[in-house]
Amino acid sequence: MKTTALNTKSKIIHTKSIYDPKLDKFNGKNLFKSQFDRAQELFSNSTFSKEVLDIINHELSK
Amino acid sequence: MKIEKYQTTNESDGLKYFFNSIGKASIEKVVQYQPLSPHNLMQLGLPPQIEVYNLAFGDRITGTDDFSDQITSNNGDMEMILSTVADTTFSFWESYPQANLFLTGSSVSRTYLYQKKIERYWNEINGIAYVAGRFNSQFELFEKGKNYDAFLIIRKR
Repeated sequence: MKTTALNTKSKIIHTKSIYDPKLDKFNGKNLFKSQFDRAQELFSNSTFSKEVLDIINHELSK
Repeated sequence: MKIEKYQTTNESDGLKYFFNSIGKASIEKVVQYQPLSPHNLMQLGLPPQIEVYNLAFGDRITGTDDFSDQITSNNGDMEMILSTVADTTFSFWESYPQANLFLTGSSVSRTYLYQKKIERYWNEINGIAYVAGRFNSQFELFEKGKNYDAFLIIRKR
């Protein structure tokens, strides 16, 4: 039982060490801001159907 | 439908949440809610009092406040991750009860994944919110089987 637990722990640490460098590639790129800018742009270039606008107005009036 | 969730911690403003995805690796995840510019919302003809927050999540880059939504970690716990992210929405709504949510994936395949999850949990979602999908640049009421590039979750009050 003890051996199994140790092996599991070892496997997690090993895999994490492989994954971390993949993430490090993005360090300093400020991806949160990039994602937000993309979302804001997408939303800003949108229109809304009458049904959606009616729902928004209805919910805001509650 | 009950799905197991990870325990989260959050920053005091209720806009940022953290949890660890435990699978083949242990990967720290970040969920962030960011308000879209009110000026932009009004230009779109939306009521001035509307609040829309962008929902973003991904893998925290160790030692930073930044994240990446560019890598597929294949950690074997996708359902649990998405369930945890969805669960943060309830905490978020406690602090921001008027907020509606904007959601889009970092790729077509991720957006499609979100769409399939919305379809799968439609009954649960429909009980608390309306869902609009963005199709040909227009938000319309969500229809199952139709492919959208973004989603607007309008909370039922």
